[in-house]
Amino acid sequence: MSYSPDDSIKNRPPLIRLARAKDRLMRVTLPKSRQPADRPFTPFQMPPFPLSQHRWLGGLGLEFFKRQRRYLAVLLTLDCEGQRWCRPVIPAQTCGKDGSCWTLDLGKSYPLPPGKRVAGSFQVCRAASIMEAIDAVPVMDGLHIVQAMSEDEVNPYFFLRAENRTGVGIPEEIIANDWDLALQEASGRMSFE
Amino acid sequence: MSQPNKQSSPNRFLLPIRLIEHNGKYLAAALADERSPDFDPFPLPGVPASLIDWLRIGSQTIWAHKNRCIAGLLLIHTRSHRWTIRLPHQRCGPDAAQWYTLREDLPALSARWRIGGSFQTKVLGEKESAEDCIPAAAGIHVVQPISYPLRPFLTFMRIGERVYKSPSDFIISNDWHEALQEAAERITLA
Repeated sequence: MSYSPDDSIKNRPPLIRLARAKDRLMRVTLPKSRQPADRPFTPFQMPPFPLSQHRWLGGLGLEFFKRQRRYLAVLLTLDCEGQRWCRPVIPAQTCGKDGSCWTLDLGKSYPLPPGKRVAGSFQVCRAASIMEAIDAVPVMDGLHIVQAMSEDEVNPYFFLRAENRTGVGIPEEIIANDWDLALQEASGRMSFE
Repeated sequence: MSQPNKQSSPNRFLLPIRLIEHNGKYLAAALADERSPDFDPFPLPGVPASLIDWLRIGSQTIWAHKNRCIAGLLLIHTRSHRWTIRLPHQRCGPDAAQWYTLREDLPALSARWRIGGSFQTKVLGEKESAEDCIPAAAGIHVVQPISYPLRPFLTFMRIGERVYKSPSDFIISNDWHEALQEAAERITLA
């Protein structure tokens, strides 16, 4: 259950850097070590992660476990121009019975569409507590969700990795119910008779 | 109670697709009277199950809190061939939603997004069938009957004047399966 940084990967996707702001909010900025092809973007506040995507990832992890009895990892991606979370990508990995050892090799999914960057991970692994789950958080800035499976429970834990530190994230501050947001956006054109 | 599809006023309304049956496949095409369509016909992909799940969960929440039906638009991008969903302008009634597809209501959508179907919750009367509430636009239409206990959703295809009941695994794609299949060669089992 780990991230294996492999510098030999030529087609490494662009990453982000997270910076802690005074008001506990996280700002997404450009990493210090940039690749030549990196598209610059204006720093922005990390948007809340959509609940529907979290559920989809949870279902994907369980589906994979049902099929293979192994654990899967997925990379979370941010559209840094649209400032929103977008479709996650499954990287090259070795899936084991306790967790996955994954890389940043995206295979045919490379390159990511312009403006999109890897901004975290979602991993399913065997962990009995948050203290065990934190071990799965990679040394890579972003939002990291660890879906911890034990004998009789599945618990999601949220972590934010920024400035060389891993902090525990509060679900209510990290996840947004996108149905509520969609209804809010559509409220001007919906009437309930 | 469903949406009127004003194909004759393309500037005011979101354009629908036209469905053509060709060698056992269903192709999404521009309307027959479009002079210079900006895309070639393409096989209509299945709607990702995650989008339908999202609409089902949300519409059930609205029914639980407000006792009202709602509708969602299924939109297909004519270049990337990907699906998305939007909540249209609508009146949400106690047994059905009535909706409109005015372009001005969804200004952020590019013209490449076309109506490829619909989702709606509906309280079906004793003599009413789900087919009766399928809108006039061609495409994939999903009806979630409101009942206790909740019944499975029903899936239809409209091609021209005809409405077909279609098995859901034919017109809805399992996007977990597709994601795992796409990544299969990058995954090794220890």
